[in-house]
Amino acid sequence: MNVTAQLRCLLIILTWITLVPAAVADHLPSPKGTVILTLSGAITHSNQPGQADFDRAMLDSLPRHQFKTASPWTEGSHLYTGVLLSELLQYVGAKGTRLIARALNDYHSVIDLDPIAEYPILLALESDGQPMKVRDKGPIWLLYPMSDYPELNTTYYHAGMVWQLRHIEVK
Amino acid sequence: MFRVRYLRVTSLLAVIAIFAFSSIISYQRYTEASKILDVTLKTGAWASSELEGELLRFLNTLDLFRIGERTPNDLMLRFDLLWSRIQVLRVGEETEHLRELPGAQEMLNKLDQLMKEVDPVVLNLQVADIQTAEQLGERYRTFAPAVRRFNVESFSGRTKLLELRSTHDRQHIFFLGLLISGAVLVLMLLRENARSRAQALHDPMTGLPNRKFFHDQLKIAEARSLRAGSRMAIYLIDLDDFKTINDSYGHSAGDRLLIEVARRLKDCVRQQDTVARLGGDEFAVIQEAVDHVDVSARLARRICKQIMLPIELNNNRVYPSASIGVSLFPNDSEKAEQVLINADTAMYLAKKDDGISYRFFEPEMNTAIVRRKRLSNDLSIAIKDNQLALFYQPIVNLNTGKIEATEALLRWHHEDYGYISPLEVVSIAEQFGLANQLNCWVLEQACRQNQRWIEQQLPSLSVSVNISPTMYTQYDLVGAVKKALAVSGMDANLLVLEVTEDTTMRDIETSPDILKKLRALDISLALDDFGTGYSSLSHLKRLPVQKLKIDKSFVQDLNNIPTDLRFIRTILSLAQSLELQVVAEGIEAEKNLKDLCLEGCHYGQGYLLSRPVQPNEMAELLKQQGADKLLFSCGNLTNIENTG
Repeated sequence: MNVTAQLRCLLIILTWITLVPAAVADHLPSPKGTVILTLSGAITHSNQPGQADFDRAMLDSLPRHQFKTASPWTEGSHLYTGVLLSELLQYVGAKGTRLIARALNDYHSVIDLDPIAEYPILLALESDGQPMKVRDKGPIWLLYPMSDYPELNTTYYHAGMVWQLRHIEVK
Repeated sequence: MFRVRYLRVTSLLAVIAIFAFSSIISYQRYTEASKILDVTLKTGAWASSELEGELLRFLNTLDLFRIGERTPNDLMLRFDLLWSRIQVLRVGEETEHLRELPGAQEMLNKLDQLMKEVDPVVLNLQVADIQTAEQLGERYRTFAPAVRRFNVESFSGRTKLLELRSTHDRQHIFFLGLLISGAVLVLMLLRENARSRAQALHDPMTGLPNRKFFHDQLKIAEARSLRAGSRMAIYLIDLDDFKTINDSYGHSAGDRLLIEVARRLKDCVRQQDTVARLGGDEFAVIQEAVDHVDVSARLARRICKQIMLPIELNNNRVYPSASIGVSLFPNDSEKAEQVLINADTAMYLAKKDDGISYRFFEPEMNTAIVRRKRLSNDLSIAIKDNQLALFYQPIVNLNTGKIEATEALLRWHHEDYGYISPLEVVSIAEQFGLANQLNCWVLEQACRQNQRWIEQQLPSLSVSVNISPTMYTQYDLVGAVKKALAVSGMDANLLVLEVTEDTTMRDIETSPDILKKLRALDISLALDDFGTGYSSLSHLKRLPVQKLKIDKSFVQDLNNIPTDLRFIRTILSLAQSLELQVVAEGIEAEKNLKDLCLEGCHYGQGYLLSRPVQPNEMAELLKQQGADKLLFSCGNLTNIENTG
């Protein structure tokens, strides 16, 4: 076997190694960049054993939604753009009733899905068209449309609006 | 009444319960709200404690980075997280109260400034660059005490919490105020209610209980009296001639009189007795626990005495007068309401007395009143159906013994009460508004009858008719006379109207023309019952009368022993000087006749000569007279004297 053949063989093996888990993980594509969000727990589609990792590009490939809202943590109203929590959960085939959302700073919040099922909850990625940095509550901010639905503007819901979101565990 | 009251009290209690309930609920709501506020405060406190945590974690990561234990990405993440925390504290309403802590805003601004400054440094920091890392760490460490203090202060939330607590205390006061004001409101409502009740039960002018309240009190007093086995007296007080006072002095004067009378009545009674104004000029008193009838007679006298005290009205001294009826419970009736009616009956009869007077109820009073009511009904029918009759009493010329005139006298035979005296008939007619009807009937009947005799070729007589007082004041007497003359065809000079001094007195004061107008019709006027009324000479001079009728009481004086001729003599000489004809009434003894003849009285009338007779009897008398059968003659008189 010459070097080329060896390389080809290696490539095939490598491809097989990288492709097989994807096939095993029910066709969810694998992240190519830095993983910024992980879903785990009761999900049926994944790209890693027991979990689904997302980079920014994967999140961007999902349908984009936006709303304008004010919040107790910002000055005035801003336009937020990102993916819908419901669509993301559907995307990973989540089968649960509550989420544990963890932030980069280890803050976590337990979110019951039932009371918020009817609202367009956003995993905001951009504020006023600019990607949010960690210093600006990015890269992902789990945000509720409080201006459109003032009933969400209570301490109970405030606790669920996790900024610097990194991990969602479906229970 | 009690049921209504029970309902009212129940509903009032319900209102108070609702008020208290909602106060408590709103208090609970408030507590809840302040708890939520507390939670927000703690969220803020968490944010500030996180600042310290993030700062320490960043410094920690910086240390580890320096010795190669952490990547630049790790360092950048911690740097970003710290910055993010600073931003959270600098912006937004959730942490607004934290920024108000002393020095907080300044510290946060400085930290933010530092972040901006070192951002490129952190981004380019190399693992090997120990010095820069240390310098960086040093700059952040200087903030540690301030961040710690900020953390502690915000956690205990000193100022805000204190502020909140004081608000809380103020809230307590507010709720106390709410409760007190609510209670006051309810009390005011109760008072207002009581006041409007009092207004509904009192006469606004005199302040006395009104008729409704009086009836309530009467029921209560009745029950009390029955329980105690005691007596109570009910007084009805009606002012006399109140209308006249109102008309002559004005309504405000009338009102003042009523207020004064109310005050006097209140002064007369004890505390436990009730004085009420039943309406108009009618007052009532309930006197409870009357031991003896004398007690109530005393009160009645006291009321009379007090009421008749003079009062100044528009600079005039007025002497109020009243009629009082008294009835006793349970003596006069076992029902208090009936006792009230009895008192009314007694008052009604007291009205007939002159001046101020009181009367106690007697069972006969009811009969008298029933009789009067019945007679008044029947009189109007009797006039229409010609059930009344006129009798005629001859008036004889004492010189010739011939009948020259007659006086028409009213007779009414009632199917149940029998003979009704003319006085009662006239009084009933006056009271029940039948005077005009009655007088017209009498005038017409008398004139027709007199004309009939003339047509029967009997000697022509003049006929005297009595006219009741209201005919002069309220009705058209002149018109009535004209009509009577017209329908009968009798000569006017044969008609004599008998008027009393009372009537003429009133006539002179109201319309002096009536008597003159009557005279102008060529009829004669006779002054009836002369000597019993005013008998004022100036008055007599002004009256256009042609005849005087000496009251029978003077004729009766002639029966005294020794014979009292003084008045008769005086009257006769007076009449002579005024050129008036004199008729002596009520001649019942022959001796009287003689005396009158001797004193020069020209005409006489009385039972001795003839009682009042029916028209056909009168015709008979006149026929006999034509056959020289005289009732009396002076010649006979001399015989009497001679034989006597």
